[in-house]
Amino acid sequence: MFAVLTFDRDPMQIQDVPMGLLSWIQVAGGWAAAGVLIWLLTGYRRMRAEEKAHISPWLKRAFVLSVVVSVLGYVAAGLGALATLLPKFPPALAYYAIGFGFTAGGVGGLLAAGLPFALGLASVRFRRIWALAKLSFKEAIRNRVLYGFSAMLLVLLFGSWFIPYKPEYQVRSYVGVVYWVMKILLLVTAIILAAFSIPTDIRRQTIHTIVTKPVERFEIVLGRFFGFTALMTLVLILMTSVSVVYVLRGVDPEAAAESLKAREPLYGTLHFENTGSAERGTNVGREWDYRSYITASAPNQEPQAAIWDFPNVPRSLADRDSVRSEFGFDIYRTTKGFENRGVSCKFEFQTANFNPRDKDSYNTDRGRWMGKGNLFSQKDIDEWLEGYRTRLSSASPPSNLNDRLEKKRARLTANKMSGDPPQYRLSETDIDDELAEEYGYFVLPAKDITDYHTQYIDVPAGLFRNAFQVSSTAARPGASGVQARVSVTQQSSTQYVGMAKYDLYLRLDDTKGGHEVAAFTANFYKGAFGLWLRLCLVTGLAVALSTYLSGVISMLVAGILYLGGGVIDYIQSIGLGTAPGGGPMEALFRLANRQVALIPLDEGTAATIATTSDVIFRWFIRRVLDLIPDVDRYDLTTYVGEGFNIPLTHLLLDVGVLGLYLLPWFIAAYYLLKWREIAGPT
Amino acid sequence: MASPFQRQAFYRKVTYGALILGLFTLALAWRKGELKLFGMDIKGVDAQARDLSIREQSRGEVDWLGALARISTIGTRGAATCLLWVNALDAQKKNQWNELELYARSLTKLQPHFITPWIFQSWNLAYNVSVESDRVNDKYFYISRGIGLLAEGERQNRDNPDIRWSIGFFTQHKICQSDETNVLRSLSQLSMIPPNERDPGRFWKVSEGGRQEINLRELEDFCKMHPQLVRRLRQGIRKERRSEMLRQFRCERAEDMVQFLQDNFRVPSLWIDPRDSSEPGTWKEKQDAQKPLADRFPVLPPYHKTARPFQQPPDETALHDESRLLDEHDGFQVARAWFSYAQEPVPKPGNLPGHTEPIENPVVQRIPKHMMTIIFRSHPCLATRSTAERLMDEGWFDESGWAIPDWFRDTGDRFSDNKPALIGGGRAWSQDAWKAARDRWYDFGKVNRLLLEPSEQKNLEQRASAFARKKHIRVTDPAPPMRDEEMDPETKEEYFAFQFLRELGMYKTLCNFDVHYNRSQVESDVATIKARKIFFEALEAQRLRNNESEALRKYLDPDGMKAWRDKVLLSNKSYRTESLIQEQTFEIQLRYIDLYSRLNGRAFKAQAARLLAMPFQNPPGCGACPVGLASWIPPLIEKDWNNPLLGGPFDGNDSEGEPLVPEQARKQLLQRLFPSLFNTTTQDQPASPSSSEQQR
Repeated sequence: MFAVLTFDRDPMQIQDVPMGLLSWIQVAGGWAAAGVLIWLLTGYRRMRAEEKAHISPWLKRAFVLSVVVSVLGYVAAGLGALATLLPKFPPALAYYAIGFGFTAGGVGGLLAAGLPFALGLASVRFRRIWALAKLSFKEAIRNRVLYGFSAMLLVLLFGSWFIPYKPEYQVRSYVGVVYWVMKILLLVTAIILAAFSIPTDIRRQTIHTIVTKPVERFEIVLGRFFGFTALMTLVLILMTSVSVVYVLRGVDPEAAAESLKAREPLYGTLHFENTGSAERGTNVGREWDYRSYITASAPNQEPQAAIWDFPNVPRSLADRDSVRSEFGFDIYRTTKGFENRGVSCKFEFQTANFNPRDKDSYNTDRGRWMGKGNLFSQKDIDEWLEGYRTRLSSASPPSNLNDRLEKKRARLTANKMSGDPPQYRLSETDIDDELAEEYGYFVLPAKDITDYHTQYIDVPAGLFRNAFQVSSTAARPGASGVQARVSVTQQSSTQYVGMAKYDLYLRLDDTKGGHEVAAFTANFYKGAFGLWLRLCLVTGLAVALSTYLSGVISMLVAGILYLGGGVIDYIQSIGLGTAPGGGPMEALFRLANRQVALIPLDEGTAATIATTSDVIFRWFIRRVLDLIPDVDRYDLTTYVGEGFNIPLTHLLLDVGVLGLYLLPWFIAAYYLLKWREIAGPT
Repeated sequence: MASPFQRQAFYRKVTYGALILGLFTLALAWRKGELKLFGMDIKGVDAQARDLSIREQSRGEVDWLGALARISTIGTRGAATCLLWVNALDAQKKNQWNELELYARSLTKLQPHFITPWIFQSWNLAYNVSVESDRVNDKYFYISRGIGLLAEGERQNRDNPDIRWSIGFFTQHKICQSDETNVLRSLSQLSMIPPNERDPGRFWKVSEGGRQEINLRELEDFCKMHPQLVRRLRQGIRKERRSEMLRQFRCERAEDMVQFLQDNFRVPSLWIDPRDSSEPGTWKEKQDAQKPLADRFPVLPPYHKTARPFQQPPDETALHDESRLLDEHDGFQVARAWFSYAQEPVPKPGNLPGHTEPIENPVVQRIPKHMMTIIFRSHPCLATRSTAERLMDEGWFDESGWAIPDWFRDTGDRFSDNKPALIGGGRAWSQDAWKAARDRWYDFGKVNRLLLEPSEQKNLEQRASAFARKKHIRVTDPAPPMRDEEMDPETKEEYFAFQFLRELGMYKTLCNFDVHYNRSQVESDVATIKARKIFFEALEAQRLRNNESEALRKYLDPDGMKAWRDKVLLSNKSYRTESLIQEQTFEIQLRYIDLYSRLNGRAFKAQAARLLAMPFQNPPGCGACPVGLASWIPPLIEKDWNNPLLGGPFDGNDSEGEPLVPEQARKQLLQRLFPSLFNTTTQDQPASPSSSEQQR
């Protein structure tokens, strides 16, 4: 599908941040509390008396307080969980107690683990980190790691020979391939560099030359991280620049029309009417259940419709000549239909001010004014204005009635033709624009839809001017909070048209701007920023792991965690028990009993044991899930390839999520390297 | 002299050097050597590898990118292939066709000599993916990609009959036999025409007033060069139902055709893609260059004059990659080229009908895996027949050509030389095509021992009967197992004849040889072609011009229904007993009666009302005439041929008393044409046990 972004999960929005933070506190705090507990049981007892004496009393008190808060929190959560088993206890209170308890426990755990870390950071100096980063940078170059990137040349030189594409897919294909190659080359190199650096230093004992100097151990971690990241960033910038030139050279016109741009879409919310469910349309049996389908209803039934509501339309749209609405729908045919012709759909655009009772009046007016052949006499103009005045005055006339009428007169008479009596030229677009502003309604009765190509409708900006007018007439019921609405109905009962929330949108960017290549180039770099975030992720992860594990193990663990992030949805489905076939014990049971995955399990003791074991297994999987990064979040290739602008908020949120993911790893690295016996007293 | 230690070191070095040299020489000889010793062939590693075809080069073209990819997987090829396969499935599920193709191509690069992925993924692209696109040119694109992928597989896996056959089958099936074949056939022809020749800018000219209008001179040239394409675009092809006919894509105006050329200017083709079409009025004639062989579509087998060792000779009449493709060439002919090419690695036919000689060299000879060899061998003939049928469906029968309606209305339907706007004349299209089909079936019958001379047949029957008598069995019984040493030479011959006749009957039935051969003979007859042309014109007059009286006159032409009955059906027994012909005959009758009742409805109904009083059953679809009547009053029908009230023209019997159109054929056709009225499948089915139990 073109000009359409498909999301298995809705992208993160600003409004999701509080819930995300809460969830992070609970997860990271849980791990921190577990770490503190382990330390209390094993590490604290091993501390020497002088070490204990070095700890300031207020830190001790803060630590104890945090631990107490954490313990109390988890006790509350435990009691809440027990309360859910009591039939008379209010479940809402029990779940509140669980949520609150986990949050309090998490906060306590984070404080207990984070306070010494935060204090330790106070003695960290950027100057030393910078020196260590430079060292890492130089070491990596001396190790000739940059030679590996020459593989990129292969793609740049010969890629176009072997990348198959349909002309309109050219940009998508090239973008996909160059990002994929950059990803492999950069991530593999970064993970190897980061994972082997500290363990090699320890093995060769070259680390002694550093730790014996007045350097904080955590500065080594940060130095390595920043050094490698800086090197990889430079390589990434270079590769991205070369890649963007590669993608932009010799772009096919069809591909340019589809993808060589950076659309700024305004998405609405989708619901269906007369399909039996507001959330879903008809299911045509496609394996990928992403889209819902509508068809033409029987003659006596209300038509099935897909409706997009736009609650927040920017005011700037009203100042344009027209606003482009792009869409890409799927077609499912049950009969052949007419050869070489698409499926006809009706598109209705309306604002909250539009009254459905005015549809007939709109159609009469449109037929009448369109029939004038673009030339209007003074009498026609007067009649039009009089009709407009009557409609506005029918309920409670707006305060600026005369102002509106004068503005309209000015627009209608703007293009005066020479001759006597004078005539005024109004194109069909002008007429539609005026009527759209007048009624808050614009309709395209029959548009042939075809799939796998971008289609669009230029909506008169008058519609949006209407959206920002204060309504004088009774608007349609249930329209409050919705500034614009697009309704799509289908006209053939033997064909189905499939659509999803992100399949139709309004273009916020100016489609006549002519800066598409520049916008695409900027977007390409934003896409590379997503790759940079993944680079930071693997580098940080590998460096943190290498503070305790050997180089190979660090590399493998970091690699596995990263790859696990690629299939996080599947792991999540196992952790939540929604994967078909259940957990490992249930799967084993089914295998032994030759039961297919989709039918319910036979009841019995063995089955109960299997499913109960899986509950425990799922608990562990959910804990592992906490460690796995959501790497697909940072994959912005689709945005670039499809020609959609990557919103700045998206990038900022990604940075925030990455920071929150890496922070616990760095805290762990801080302690692990601190407690590691390198050049310490024996 | 050096010290003893140095001497020792020196000797050691010399010894090792000599050993290394000797071993390398031996290894080289072992690798490159090839000699005959005492009558024995002693072959080195290279020669053995060549003979066994285990080298990349000896299996076909070497794809260096694939080789690089295989090496770069450093032993994880299996895992990488699985991952790619899963990704391909996922991409297909999410309708990401470009990604799917990328995965499919990567898969085949990793395992280039595993045939199934080539065939499966190319089928996937040509069928499953193409059908998901709504626009026909998108469909065509993915058909071309699927076939292109398979052609790449063929180049890397020489001598594989299944791949070659699949390329041919995909081509003919998807382009010439699919639902939207009218557009797809046209697109296929566009693929063969140089872009400059079909440049839409060529057909526009800008008048002095700045108006854009059709350049009739250029249009005329194009129509003359591509009559079949033009006719198909203008009026479509014959379809069973009127509604289907009208739903076809057609270009009512010349402007529509130019728009079609514009929409499909960059169709996958033999030619290097131009960036864009020329602006109206700026077109200039120029020579287009062809793409490299690997990128061309339609794909054709490589040109070669002689057979490879142990293989069958190439079909010299089939198309190849050096052939100049013309307007008359279609997907069936391309398919035939591949079907013929697929025969080359198959061993020669054996002595018994339908049998195959044993494989002598398994490296270059292969038996097709997915169908019986005799059916596999018949595909070139089937494709030739399909071309002849296509010509009939598109209205190309004789030398008279086709008059282009409407496009040249401004010049009085005349070309610039004041001659009528008639194209495609001067060639007996149908006859030539059916004769070619007949010749191919003849050769096929002879080579595979399915077509015998009467004397030969008689001789075999006599000997087979003698054997049956000796063994006290019937001629139709299975051949008893016999050992050579048990039989004297005469019995051997008789046993062979017995076996031969048994295999002959079986294999003839298997590949429907008699029907195909006889049909191609009858269809190439002038009387048949004339009658078919008249029926086609009648249908065209009725459907496209809505001229029913003209259609009725056509049916009543002496060369029409009458000739069809007397000269075609009654003169060719095997032809008239073929169910397809019987159904076609009955369809003609139905159409005629329908027309007659429309045009002479009032009188017809009055006569019918009188006749219906007769106590006979009125059979379905044969006019108002009771079924028996036609058989016992044929002279009446002869006398008043044009009044179907007395019976349909084909209601009578042949000289052997068999009906020309038996009840079964009528029923079949009626069920096909009017499924809602005549579909009695559910009634004919035996009641299921559960339903009978319920009834009880």
